[in-house]
Amino acid sequence: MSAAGWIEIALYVAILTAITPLLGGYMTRVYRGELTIGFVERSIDALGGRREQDWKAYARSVLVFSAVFFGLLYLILRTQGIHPWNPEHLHSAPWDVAFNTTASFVTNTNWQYYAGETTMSNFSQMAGLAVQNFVSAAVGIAVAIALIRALASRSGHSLGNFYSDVIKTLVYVLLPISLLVGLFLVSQGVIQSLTAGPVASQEVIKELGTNGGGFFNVNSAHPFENPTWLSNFVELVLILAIPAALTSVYGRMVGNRRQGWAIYGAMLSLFVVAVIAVAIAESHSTPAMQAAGVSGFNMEGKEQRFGIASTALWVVVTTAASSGAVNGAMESLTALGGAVPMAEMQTGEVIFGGVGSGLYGMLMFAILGVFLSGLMVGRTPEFLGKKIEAREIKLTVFGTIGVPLLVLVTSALAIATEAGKRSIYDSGPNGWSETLYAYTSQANNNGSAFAGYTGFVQPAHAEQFGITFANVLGGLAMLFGRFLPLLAVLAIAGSLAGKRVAPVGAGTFRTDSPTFVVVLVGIVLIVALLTFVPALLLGPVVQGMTHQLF
Amino acid sequence: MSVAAPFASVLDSLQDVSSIAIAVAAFAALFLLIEILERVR
Repeated sequence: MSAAGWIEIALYVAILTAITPLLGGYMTRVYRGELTIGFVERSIDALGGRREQDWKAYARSVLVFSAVFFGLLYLILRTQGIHPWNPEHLHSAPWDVAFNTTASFVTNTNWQYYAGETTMSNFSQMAGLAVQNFVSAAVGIAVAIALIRALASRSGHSLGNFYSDVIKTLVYVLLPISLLVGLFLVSQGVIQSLTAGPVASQEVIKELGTNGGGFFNVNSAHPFENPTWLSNFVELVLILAIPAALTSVYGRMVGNRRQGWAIYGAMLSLFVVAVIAVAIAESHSTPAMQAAGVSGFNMEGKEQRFGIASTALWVVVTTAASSGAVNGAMESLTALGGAVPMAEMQTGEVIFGGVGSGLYGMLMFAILGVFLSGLMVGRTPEFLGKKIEAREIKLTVFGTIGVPLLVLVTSALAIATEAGKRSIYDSGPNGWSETLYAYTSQANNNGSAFAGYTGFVQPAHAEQFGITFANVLGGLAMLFGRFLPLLAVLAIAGSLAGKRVAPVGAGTFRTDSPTFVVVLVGIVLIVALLTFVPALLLGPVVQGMTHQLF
Repeated sequence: MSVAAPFASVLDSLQDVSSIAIAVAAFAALFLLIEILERVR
């Protein structure tokens, strides 16, 4: 890769680090209630948003809110034929594809078995999918804020109010940033019209909310979504802006900014290693190129206007965050280049991760970290002065192991059944990689697709049909992948909120030190490696160790 | 409209019912999970 490419990556890391405290400071003011606008506060009052909620009430509100939006989105997708702004008179997708798509957008996954331009009307894109991009992101952020409140709490069982947190997130954070950056994207050439498509308005929240669902099938490789190097770079910054800023919100709200920087440091170190690995891997040719007598960088499946650096950065940013957006073909990556995004998702989406879900996932690993460290030195584990006991550890283990189990079970079902095999395109290890990637991506609520694996067949001159097995299994993987850890986190928050804070003493294991960053990184890697190495061996590792073309 | 169209729409409705049933079952299981997690000691 060229020197300019390395400079681009360094510039990205510098800008991300610079905006983390700025956006984090602003968001902290929002959740402390220091920023108020009359009609917003009246809306919160009207929804009962002043009522304090314990963890069960907060969790029920999350589920009721998500279930209502599930019903609304499904209704929109299945009645598409009678809606306005459908210039191409597109019919609804089959029920199973609509089920999968609804589960996908409600859970902030944005896995897409459909191609946007041949399946979705402009109305479905705007009133259905784009709305979900906002609200599903707000749900994740609200839950992270509830956990932070519990950690910062000195007494009581309240986590705040879910509806208040969601409204504040929508009005004070997501909407203003989307409006400003959306206009910038239009200036770069991203289209925004009711005839050609309301792309810019969807593109901006797709990135900011770590959603990732493209207006077009090729997602951010399409010049109407992502026309220039600058639009690409700004979209990359948008993706990690909120997950990074939330580490700062965490540090500020618990009263020790170093706590936030420690979490940021752990996330950033894993991220930088991944970017370097993909950039180096894609700077080499693939076995297919060598067999064809072609040398140089692996430019297969990459946009000429982005090149190796912008594509490598995009691959790592979008799979570190739970954004399924792509600006190149994932299946065209080298074996190592393809293994890295899969491994990033398999860490449980905690390397920045999704908006809100990345932070609360990483904080669960932090609780595991203090527990294991406590065992090693023979002290009662404490996190931010709160004693970590059996209940918190059981809930943490459930929250961190639940999704990996879901990935392995669904992938095994999909590869071992005839119904599952219908979705696989490639043979050999790449066929397994497609399958593992599909369920890793869906269960971790990422949405990134390796290509090949399908649940929706759209032949040119015949009736389209869905592959029910893949749609239903994937839909359930997304729903449980989203809500199992989320409910565990809220239960942990409820448990910690009422605990008294012990003063820091000589025996306290500090969680704002470089030592803790190393412990945290180690635990994330050990859990992911122990869970997924055998599965990775059968796919990308086998492929990378042979010159046979699959 | 073809003769088969009304039958197709009945079939469609049945399929939607199964889709909604799966979603309702999934959310019901999640509500139940709240109670289970409360009991963890």
